[in-house]
Amino acid sequence: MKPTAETEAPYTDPEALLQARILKILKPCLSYWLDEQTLYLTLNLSRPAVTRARLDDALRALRDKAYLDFRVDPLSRLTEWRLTPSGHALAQPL
Amino acid sequence: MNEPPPNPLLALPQEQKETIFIWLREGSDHDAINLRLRDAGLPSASEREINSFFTEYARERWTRRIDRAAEEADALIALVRRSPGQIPEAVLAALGQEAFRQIAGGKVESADLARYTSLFLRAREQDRAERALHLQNEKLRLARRNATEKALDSFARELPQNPAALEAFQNLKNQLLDQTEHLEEVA
Repeated sequence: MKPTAETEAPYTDPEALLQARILKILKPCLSYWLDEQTLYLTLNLSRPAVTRARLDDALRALRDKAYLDFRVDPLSRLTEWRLTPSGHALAQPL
Repeated sequence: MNEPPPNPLLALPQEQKETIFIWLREGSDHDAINLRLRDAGLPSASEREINSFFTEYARERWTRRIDRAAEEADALIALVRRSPGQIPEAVLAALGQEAFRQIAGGKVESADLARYTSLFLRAREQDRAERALHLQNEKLRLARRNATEKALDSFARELPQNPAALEAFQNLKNQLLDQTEHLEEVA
């Protein structure tokens, strides 16, 4: 996946790299909520594969730092995510 | 180790890449794809090129879809907002989120969604026009009836105070009103 290659260079820590990839995917979604399943599929378009557990940890870490907002879709029961204003600022250079 | 040569299919214009992707998604095999490429006046491709094209283009397409889903959802909201009649902002926001979800999740193509929305808006507009026309006809019918009644009442006041003539006149009035109703129903 091209975006990965672009974001890989400054990150030596794989968890930080994964968080950067999440921010980069969510950046063009603006104020819309992206569900965890689509996020998971998008992250796994290329190897190395990202497990659900790693994705959950990365999302939680970003949420704890107030870079992400989340909610639960009442119909699908899936969590949905979007960047907070500080998340948008952080994702700007990505 | 030598770099593999660039895939000529990936260098094609976007529209042609999309067409080839759809052929592959339909299940066309290597021979069928080459036959279609020849029909379209394009050079043939090896099985390896076709396979790698499908993998790379599908990935690129998916990423592009998520990148553009918000734009497409915003465009859809703008389309609905331009349609006549007030639609609450909360409804528009829910519509935008659902459109975003469908496009980003790969469940629907944004062009199809826009087409369905346009069709829905057109049907809604037609329905509103029909209702307005019906309302207008109903108003016209009532106005005609009131005018007839008023004219007949004025005429009745002119009648000499003769009970038999008055009764005959009342019968005539009822008959005329019935006929008017009947004519309107037929119309």
